[in-house]
Amino acid sequence: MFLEKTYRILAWVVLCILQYSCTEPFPIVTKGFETVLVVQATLTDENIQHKVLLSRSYNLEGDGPNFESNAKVMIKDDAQYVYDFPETDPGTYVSSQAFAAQPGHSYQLFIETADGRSYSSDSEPLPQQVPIDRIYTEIETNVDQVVGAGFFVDNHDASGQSKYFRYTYEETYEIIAPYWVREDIYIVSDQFPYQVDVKLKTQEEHYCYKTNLSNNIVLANTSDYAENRISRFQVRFIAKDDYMLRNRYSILVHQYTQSLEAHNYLKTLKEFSGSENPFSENQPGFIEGNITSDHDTNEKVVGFFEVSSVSSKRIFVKFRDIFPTGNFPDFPYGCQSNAISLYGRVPQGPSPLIDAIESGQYKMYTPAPTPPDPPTVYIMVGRPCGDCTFMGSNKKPDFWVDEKI
Amino acid sequence: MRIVFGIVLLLFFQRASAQEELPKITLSYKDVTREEVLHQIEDKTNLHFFYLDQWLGTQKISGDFTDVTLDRVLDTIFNETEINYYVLSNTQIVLTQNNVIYDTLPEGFFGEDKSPFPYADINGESEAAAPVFYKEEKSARKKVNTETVRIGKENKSSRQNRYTLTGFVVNTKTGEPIGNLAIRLKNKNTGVSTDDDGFYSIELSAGLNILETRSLGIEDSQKRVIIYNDGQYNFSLDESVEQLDEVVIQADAAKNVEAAGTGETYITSQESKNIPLVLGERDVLKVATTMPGITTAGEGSSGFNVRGGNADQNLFLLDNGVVYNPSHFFGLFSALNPFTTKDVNIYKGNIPAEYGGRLSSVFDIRSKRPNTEKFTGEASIGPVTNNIALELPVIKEKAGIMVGGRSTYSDYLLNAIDNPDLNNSTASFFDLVGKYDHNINENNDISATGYYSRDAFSISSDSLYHYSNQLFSLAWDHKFNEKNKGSLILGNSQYKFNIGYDGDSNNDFELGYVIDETDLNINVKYLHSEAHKFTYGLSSKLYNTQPGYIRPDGSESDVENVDIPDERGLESAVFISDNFKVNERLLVEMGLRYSFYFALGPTEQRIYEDGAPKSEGTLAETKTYSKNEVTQTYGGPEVRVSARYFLMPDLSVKASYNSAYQYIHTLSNNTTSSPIDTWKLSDNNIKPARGTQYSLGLYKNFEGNTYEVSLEGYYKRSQDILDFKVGAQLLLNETIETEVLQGEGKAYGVELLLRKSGKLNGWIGYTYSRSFIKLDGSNAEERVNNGEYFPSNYDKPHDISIVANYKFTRRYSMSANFVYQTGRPVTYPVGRYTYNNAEYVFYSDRNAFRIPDYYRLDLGFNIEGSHKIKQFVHSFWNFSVYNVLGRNNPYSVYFVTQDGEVKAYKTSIFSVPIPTITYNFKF
Repeated sequence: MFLEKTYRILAWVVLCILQYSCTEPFPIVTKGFETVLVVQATLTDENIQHKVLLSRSYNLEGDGPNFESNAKVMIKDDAQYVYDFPETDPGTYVSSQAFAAQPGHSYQLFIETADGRSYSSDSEPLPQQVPIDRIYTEIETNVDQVVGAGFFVDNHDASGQSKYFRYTYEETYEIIAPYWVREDIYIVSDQFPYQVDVKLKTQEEHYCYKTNLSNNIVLANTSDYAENRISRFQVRFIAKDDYMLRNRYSILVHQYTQSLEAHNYLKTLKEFSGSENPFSENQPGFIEGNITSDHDTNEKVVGFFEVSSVSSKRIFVKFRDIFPTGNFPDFPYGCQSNAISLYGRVPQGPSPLIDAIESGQYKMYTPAPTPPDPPTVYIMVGRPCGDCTFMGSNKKPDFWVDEKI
Repeated sequence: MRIVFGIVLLLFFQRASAQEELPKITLSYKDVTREEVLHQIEDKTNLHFFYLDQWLGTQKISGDFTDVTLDRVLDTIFNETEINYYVLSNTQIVLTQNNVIYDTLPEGFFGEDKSPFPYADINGESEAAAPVFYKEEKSARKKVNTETVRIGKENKSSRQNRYTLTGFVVNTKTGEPIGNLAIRLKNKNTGVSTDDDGFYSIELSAGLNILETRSLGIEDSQKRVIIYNDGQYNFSLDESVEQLDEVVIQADAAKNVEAAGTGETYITSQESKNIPLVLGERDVLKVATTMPGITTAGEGSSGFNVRGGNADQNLFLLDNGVVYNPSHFFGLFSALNPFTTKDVNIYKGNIPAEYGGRLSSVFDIRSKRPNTEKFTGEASIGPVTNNIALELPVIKEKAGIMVGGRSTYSDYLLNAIDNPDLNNSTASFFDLVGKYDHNINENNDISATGYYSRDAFSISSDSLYHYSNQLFSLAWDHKFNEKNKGSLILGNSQYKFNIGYDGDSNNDFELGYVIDETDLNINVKYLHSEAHKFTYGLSSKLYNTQPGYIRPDGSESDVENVDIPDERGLESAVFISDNFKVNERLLVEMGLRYSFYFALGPTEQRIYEDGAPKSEGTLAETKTYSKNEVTQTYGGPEVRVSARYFLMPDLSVKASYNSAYQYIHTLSNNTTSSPIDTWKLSDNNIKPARGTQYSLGLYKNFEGNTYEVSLEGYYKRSQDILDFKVGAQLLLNETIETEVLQGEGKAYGVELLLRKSGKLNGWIGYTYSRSFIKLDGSNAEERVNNGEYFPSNYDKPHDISIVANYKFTRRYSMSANFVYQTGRPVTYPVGRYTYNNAEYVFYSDRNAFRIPDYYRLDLGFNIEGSHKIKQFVHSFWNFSVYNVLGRNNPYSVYFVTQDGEVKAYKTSIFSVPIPTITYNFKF
């Protein structure tokens, strides 16, 4: 009895240390604000019109970004050839011609902002390309003990020259509206006597697609490895119950071969912005990139002008390819059906059905299978259940390949 | 008894007016008390007597004098009493019991010959001649319940040094004599035992002696004996098996004022007993942080910052062996067993010349001497750990062994708790300590200490961290003769950690670090004369480090076996210091240490272009050295001078100047120190750090050392202290010099400490201090905050600590502990930006902002077990509540990008009140 009680106290105390060494969010308050130029520029060996994004930092509470407009942006190669980047949208500067970074050449970024300040990057060579060998998916349990699908990359570098990689991905998943029907309801008269009718839908609302861009920093390197090979490196993890996996899912992985400096820059950024061991906090500070002000060496410029070779690969998967058993992920919205009548209790009063249609929150599933004809009661479902454009785009992406049946 | 003390003070300034001519008097009295006689004299003259009436007694006396000098009358009156008199002025006469009041200060009064404390043992041997001054300390008497006994009456003409005390010892209950009872002189290795009739005879030096009695079945007792002449004293003792608490000896009470060194702090393990505990652990180092000038960066930081110095600038010695990381579980617990630890001396101002190798401080921790009389033990059961220490005599009165062990059982509890948040975290530790002490003969003593501590913890499920300290030290103390005494100390210490990573990819690994040092120290003390006491010797240590290795774990792993080449270095020093008593008021400790360091091969030395920042691109050449070849030499003199000057007997001023070199550095890019910080030896690219410190202080004791006040200021400069570029990769980096910045440090502060002993005891410490670092270089990445001074991570200007303990009775006491500190500086973001579809914050100046101030109140309640006779164990319960106010003290703030958005978090270690119960028992 006593012992039991003691243990209960002990258990409680130990809970205290580990649980009450608590971490809690707090609202960020600006204590001192500095505005700096933020440069996002990656030049690759793809023959495209490359993009440079310029913005300014904003204060901690505020919304951004603040685009930096009216700047002059150009990239010069080591043969002094200049590629101009006129501004197409606020803060977005796109090269006037398509070009690809060439092996054996270096490139330098020059920026002159509207206020007359000029900035330049170090001269960066194009690293040796390493192709992605394979992208594949396997069942994986993450650090939080959640089961899901891991998407992995393998590569190997025969030349042994490239050791640093950054990964980004674009994922696209298919959305199927579960209560989609061919017809749509529409209002014939919204005045008493109320009248509705059905007609064929004019747009695709059954199959849609949603694309997400990665927004985390995913880095890998082979510098500590005996072989220059990346093996089973996880680029993406999706929990098993995530709707993205319910239908067809596709991921396009880009692998950027980086310089050591670019890699370290992003690694530091990732460390500073990652979650921490509560007992030891990294000393944060301003991360020096490769872009500096030409006039004031103390002026801070955020960003790293990266020149990298890219290898990309896409795969398509479906749920049963990954998980041979188990339930499919649920549709993220509840889809109960509601029988909604054209007339309320007072026929001359407002019409529930007309209101529902006008709200845009409902889609018709079927007319109630009862006389009279035309029907006055319709089975309605929430809009996402009957119209996939609520969640995604009904335009099938060009790359999309349907499953061969 | 404050009068006596007051008089001594007066005397000091009124020496000139002393010994006035006494008037002649005619007087006749019959069968009256002495007091009445004094009244008669007061009536007849303008004289006034000062005394306590109980001294005079009720005995009736008679006498008849005609025109004789007053001193003849007084001599007659006080003949056969213990009363002495002193003529203070022509109107005032002071009576004293036992004491003669001297009108010239006797030599050695201020106790300079009681050394500045590290040498107390040696200096204690040169006993002061004759006069006995004794200030009874009320509080001390109550605390230990030691009765004071006065023997004999002081004879002014006596220059005798030693007197004989005789008597016999009886059992209070039965009245029977107690034979074979040891009567020992506390803190001296002398003693006698009673014969079969309970009779004893012991020689004591004049003045205060503390006698202890020990015998099986008899309660241990202590008597404070002030002996003025040969005399007799009979003991009457109780039967018991119970031991008394340790006693803080009187000789130390005035140390604050007397010692020559500035910035010295002395803490006994006993002091930690009555302070509220975190999770039931007694901890001397935790007590140390309540003293001015000693702080930690926060609750979860394993390092100590002393007077604005970095955590790597402290030397922790356990029985002369170096402990690299004296903390468990991120500093929440210290790695020292509280039962086997005796005390710690902390030098944060003047560091004696015999210590070296660190800039800021020395924590000299000593273990208890094993009991050579009987088997004893102590154990505790707390919420997180259990602990046991045993002392076993090996050869009676000669040799003993002590072992202590402590371990957590939290892992067991963690597993028992059904909480998914805890499944991924584990933490456990243990430490073991053993000490053997052998007193071979009166001139030779050998002791050996072994120590091992180990921690394991894991924050996420795929990595497991281990770290361990290990040390062994062997000391041989030899007394050549009365004037020369030496110690030979051999030691070896090791610190290592490793990280095991077991993920799902091809990158499982084990990563580790080891530092190992072997030390040899020779330390000789030479008591040249009353004025000069020399300490000299040499010390040498050989470092071997394995700066980092990584091994693949499992055959699937593609991780390459990497070993950063081992580093070797030899650090040596010769030192000499003289404790020079210039005169009664001025004591100077002059120390000089010359240290030198050799970086040794085998190694590949990288030489970079002059003046350019070190990087791969500026590497000029690589030189290869073979084993034990000297690749780089550093060295220089270190001055350690400190002086004390008495402005008044209980008021002194001290000043010191210190300089030091530090040849090893920790590499850490955390804001607070962590167990996986590595130590790096100086080499051709990384210079040793240098530091200087000036201190000045005032020290005063009041009311017979009941109150102790010290006020000390310091100013420190340091050069070539290590820091790192933003985002530096420190683990497994062979070219670490390319990530390192070496800068300057500046720190200053004022420390105020008020201590009180007695029923209500404790201390109040207040520190105002600042600590700055400057990192300047030729290019932007070598500059932090534009190359200007900025506050260090542990710069906490205001620091208040209050520790109070109140004893209701012998059994019950209550304690409280309050801490307030300015929040430590943090690097706070100055803006947000969007980059690659996600938001990030960016940082500008380092440490430009502070986390909220820290404050905390702890309460404790202690119950000593009953003091019943024949009780086998003596128990002690402690109930503590840590952080009673439930203050959520942020330890760190950080900003993370989650799902593309910035989120701010703050972490605190203990955000709620934490109650604990600990049970201790002694047998």
